[in-house]
Amino acid sequence: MKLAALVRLVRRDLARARRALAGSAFGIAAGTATLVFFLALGLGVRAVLLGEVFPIDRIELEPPKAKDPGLLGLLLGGGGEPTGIRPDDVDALGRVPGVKRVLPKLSLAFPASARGGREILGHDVGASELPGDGIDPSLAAGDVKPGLFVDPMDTPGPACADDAACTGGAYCERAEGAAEGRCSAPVPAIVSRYLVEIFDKSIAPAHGFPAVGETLLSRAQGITFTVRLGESLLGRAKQGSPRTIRARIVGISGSATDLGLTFPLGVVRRWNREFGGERAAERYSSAVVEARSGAEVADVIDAGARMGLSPKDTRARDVSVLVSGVMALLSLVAGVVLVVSASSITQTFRALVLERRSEIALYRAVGATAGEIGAWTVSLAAVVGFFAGALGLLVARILAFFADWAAAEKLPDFPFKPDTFFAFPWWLWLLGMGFSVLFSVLGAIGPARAAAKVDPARALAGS
Amino acid sequence: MSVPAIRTRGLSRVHDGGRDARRALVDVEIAIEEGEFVCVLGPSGSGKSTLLAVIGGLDRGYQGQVELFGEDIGRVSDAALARLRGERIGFVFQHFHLLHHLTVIENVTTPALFDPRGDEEACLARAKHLLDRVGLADRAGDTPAELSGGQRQRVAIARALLRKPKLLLCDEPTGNLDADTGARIIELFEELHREERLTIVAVTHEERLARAATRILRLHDGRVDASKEEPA
Ligand SMILES: Nc1ncnc2c1ncn2[C@@H]1O[C@H](COP(=O)(O)OP(=O)(O)O)[C@@H](O)[C@H]1O
Ligand SMILES: [Mg+2]
Repeated sequence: MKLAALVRLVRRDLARARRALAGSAFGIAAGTATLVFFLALGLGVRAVLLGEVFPIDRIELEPPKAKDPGLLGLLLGGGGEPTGIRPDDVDALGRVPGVKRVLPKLSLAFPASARGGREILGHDVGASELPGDGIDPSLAAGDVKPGLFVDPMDTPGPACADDAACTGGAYCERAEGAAEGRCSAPVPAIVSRYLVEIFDKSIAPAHGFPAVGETLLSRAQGITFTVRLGESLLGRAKQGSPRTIRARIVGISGSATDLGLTFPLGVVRRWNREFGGERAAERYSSAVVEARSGAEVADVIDAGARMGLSPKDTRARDVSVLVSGVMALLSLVAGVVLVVSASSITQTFRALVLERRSEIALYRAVGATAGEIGAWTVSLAAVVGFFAGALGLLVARILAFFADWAAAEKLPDFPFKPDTFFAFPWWLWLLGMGFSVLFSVLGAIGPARAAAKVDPARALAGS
Repeated sequence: MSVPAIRTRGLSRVHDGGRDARRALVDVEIAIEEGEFVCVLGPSGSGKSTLLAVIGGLDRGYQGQVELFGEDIGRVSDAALARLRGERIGFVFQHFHLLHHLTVIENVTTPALFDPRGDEEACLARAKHLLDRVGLADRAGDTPAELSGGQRQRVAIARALLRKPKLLLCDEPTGNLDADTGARIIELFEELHREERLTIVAVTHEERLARAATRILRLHDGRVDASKEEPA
């Protein structure tokens, strides 16, 4: 059957069965309106919560934790391959609308331990396990004096064979197997306020150390440590041979990892390549995404979710999950309305097919295939769904408008009271339309099959 | 000799009507050549409508073999059979089966909806020509409700002829018409047969239609009464 013929048939149906079709379309329209209204409300409220109530304009996204290898994985070895965020994904995140910049983080992919702190504490203390991250130095630019938090190898010193060949506080940065090293200033590290708090409130009193205030830290021109790379109390790196470097704490930053030291990205990448391999050097362990505004964080979370990344900040995740949960619940209500209205479509179309048995039989006699009769019925339902969807969307938009108006007029002012509680992104319109057509068509499938099965000989025998 | 338009071999049709299965056709063997005007006569309930539905490809629940223009219709797909009906066969029914929500011209062009190769303008021109042919050129815009019985049957005949079929199958085409009107419909069939060499099979229980036919088949209790087969 040509499309033009199908259009003609459906147009004739709309003209003559207007009332019955409008009746059955009403349910679909109501269902679509409910669905779109609730989704728009959820999206709007989430944007308000994330954007204004909990103004988070930067969010850290993590890949899923490496899967539990299970017994088989342990037996066969392997498994446990760190997933990580591919550089492509970092670029993709950067292209998400509303994203200002993406700052990937690279965690140490090998065991390390540290010892030092004599300058402030009086004698050295050690950390038998040193967690650490590498971040783009620009992340800490606001917190650290310029020029302090940079990769020392950006301006390498003279060639050296061992630490004795270097002067001042410098050490010889020489990877295993390299013919010669270069003298390097102590690798700069930053720590979190959180770590300083823990140290001052819990560790220092227990050991009789002085508290390490921010001012003290800066006055001491940094605390130096020696860091043992590739070896800790718990074990050794899978590759490379352990060596010792010098590091200096140059400041406290909100961008630093909570527990452990945070180094310039280039340094960690080099070390990871040496002790963990190429993959450990390339795949980021998390990415901090800065949105242009808090309102856009919700979009960033969604975009991350599509890449399998989830927010590390539990507050943002909680808000997001909570609102998504409420949204899912309300959508379920709308789904029930749609299912019920699909059954009203079924009723109407079943009656329509019954009433038109002799017409269908005539079409079969003059050359229509069973498939064409079915397609005609389904197309009619799709068109009914389209009009019902359009009506539903209109109703949802008008309801949202009045709800906002009522909130503005009738509700007392409360903190973060927004101008609108709704968000209608373009895809919501498509989604509403899609569901409307889908449920109409689903409802009409049974009747369409019945229409295709009408026995022409028998139906034409009657008058 | 050319392939017959219709040939049946051992054709039987049993309607399963609950407890008592009814044998509407029993071992029917007929051959109808192209260009014949065959009238199938028989009392009510003798299986005439069933025979027409089977050879028109509308009823596939038969036993035996049915060939249309040399093609065994038991072996083709439902869709292919539908195409064959559209292209080669025109149906005329006792109750006209016009669509009341459409105008006369729209009714006549209905078969074009299911013609994958149809050309809209050519189809409209043909419909007008046919309406002229059946004497209803001035009623194209009317609805069937505004027409008399005889006029409605003429519209149905025009519709049956739209896609230039080779075979016209008519089930009691005058059954709902008074004698005069019926007579004029019969004349129309005679003309179509004579002028367009259309193969016509008309079933009826009225002897007067038989006078126009070139051959008469008598059906009794689902059996073709071979002894009474007669040239008209
Ligand atoms: N759909 C059907 N179900 C059961 N019996 C049927 C059906 N159609 C026809 N019959 C029976 O088959 C026989 C032949 O019917 P039909 O072909 O309509 O005869 P005619 O057209 O000659 O009056 C009749 O006995 C009729 O009752
Ligand atoms: Mg009959």
